[in-house]
Amino acid sequence: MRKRVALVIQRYGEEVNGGAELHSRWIAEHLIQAYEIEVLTTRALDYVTWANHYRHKDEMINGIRVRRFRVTRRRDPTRFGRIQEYIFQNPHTVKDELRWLKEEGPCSQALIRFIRKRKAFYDCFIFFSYRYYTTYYGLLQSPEKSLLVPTAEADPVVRLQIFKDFFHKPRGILYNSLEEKELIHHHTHNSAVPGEITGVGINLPEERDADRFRKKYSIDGPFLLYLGRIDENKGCPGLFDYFIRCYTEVPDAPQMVLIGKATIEIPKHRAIRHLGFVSERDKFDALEAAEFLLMPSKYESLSMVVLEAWALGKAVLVNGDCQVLKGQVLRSNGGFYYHNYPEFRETQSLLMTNSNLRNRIGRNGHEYYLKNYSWPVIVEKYHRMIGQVTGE
Amino acid sequence: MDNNFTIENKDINVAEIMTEIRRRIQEKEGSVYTDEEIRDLAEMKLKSLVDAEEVESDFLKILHRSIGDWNISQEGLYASHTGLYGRLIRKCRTLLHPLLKLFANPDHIIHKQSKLNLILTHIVHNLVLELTRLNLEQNALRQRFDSLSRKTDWLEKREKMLEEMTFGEKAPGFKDGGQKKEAEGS
Repeated sequence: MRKRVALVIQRYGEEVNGGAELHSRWIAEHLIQAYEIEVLTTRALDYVTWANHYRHKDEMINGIRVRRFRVTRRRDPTRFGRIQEYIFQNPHTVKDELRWLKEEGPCSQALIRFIRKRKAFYDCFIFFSYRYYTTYYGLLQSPEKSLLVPTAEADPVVRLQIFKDFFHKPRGILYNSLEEKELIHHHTHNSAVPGEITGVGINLPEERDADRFRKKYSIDGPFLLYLGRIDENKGCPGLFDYFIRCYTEVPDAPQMVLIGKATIEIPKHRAIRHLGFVSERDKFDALEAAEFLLMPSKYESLSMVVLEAWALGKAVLVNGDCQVLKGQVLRSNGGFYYHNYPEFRETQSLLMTNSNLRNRIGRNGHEYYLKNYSWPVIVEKYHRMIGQVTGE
Repeated sequence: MDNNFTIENKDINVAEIMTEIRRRIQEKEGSVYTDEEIRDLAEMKLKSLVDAEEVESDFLKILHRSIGDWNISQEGLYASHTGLYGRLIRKCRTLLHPLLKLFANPDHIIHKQSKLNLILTHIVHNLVLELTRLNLEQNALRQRFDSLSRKTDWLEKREKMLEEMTFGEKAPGFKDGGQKKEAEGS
């Protein structure tokens, strides 16, 4: 009989945007052949308020049973922001941190109750994203059967007192990168807990066409690509500043294409094109057409778009202040990084003018991706970790 | 930067290329000092600061030696001038030391003060080092500001020239009256 594995995640669905959520869905869809997979999640779609969106308790998504539980408390972003600011900047107690966690949400007592009552039914639980209410309280219901995929970033949350013990609870931890593992070890001293660097693979469309993208969006000439949410946390204001400066200083500088939902104002500049949210097919067509990918974020636990670029053999230029991205780039030799404007200017200029170097760097990234993040490698690592829990 | 980067062997090492890029940036910017140069500059600064305070020039040399006899010490407590008379006084003071310790213990105070002096010297040195760094940074920023100002002036001139080329003599008139006429027309 196949083992029963439950994945617990704050939101789930094909329409859900978010790295960890997509990560969990792809993992579920790749483990379904070996296990009886169920997803335990909330009815929320919007991560700002956690408002109940889905009507049905149960549904099937790509052959996976998804159980949805009601969110009992909506998030008030203003109150949450105030509490978060307080605990990040002031001496505080564990009680304050638990209050922060409640505000962070999504609070779903029904989901926690379900795990407590039905824990004997499942052989293993896999919790995604350590920072949410569902993961924290859900994992504490059955730590001996639990694996954790933390998706931790180098932000103040990882330093909170409540997580120091928490990272010692699960039977195993599936890290996204070496840097994430070191970050968590450093703050929680949990090196005794078995862990494996796994990450996630990429689902590539079978065919990709750069010309189709250029024709559809009327884009001529070389361009750099930014993929993802366009907001402050992703380092976009800095990227705009550097790009515009570079465009005025470097002759024949390429244009920049932005794909993703914008939450900040994008400067009006003749070399910046914002296409908004596009389909998966268009996204991969854009990657195929781009010279290389830009990733200005300081806070990443993995960056799936960087893996997507490498899966297609494209070089990347990343923010060196993000230890994860810098580490990945140095290990793979699949891109460059920058810490300041001169480095940004020189690295982008080097990548643009030396196509031989750019292609070889892209190929390095591709090899690194195949060796570490291709699906067979990822699935094998999950088998090993689940086996530790189920005793197989 | 010229981008004639020649990658000799088959394996690309990003760390090495990044080091080369940084080296070229330093060459190009021309205002980046090594740690050693900054230390030298800081010492120069220290000299000028000390001179400015009109401290004895000998004192500076002693200070540079770090562990000179500039600091107070227990040995110096009973020192006197050279010569037979001076040696006699020193001997008497040393002999009477236990008697002095019966009433108060100056050794302890001297030891603490001497430690404090060393720490303060260290702090002053670090502050001067930091001040030098900030001065260098300020100079670099000032240079950058000047360069940007020149660039802005040039762009303004270019813009005016282009306006004149586009609108000819009517350019000022367009600004003054053109919009008004448009408004009237609508």
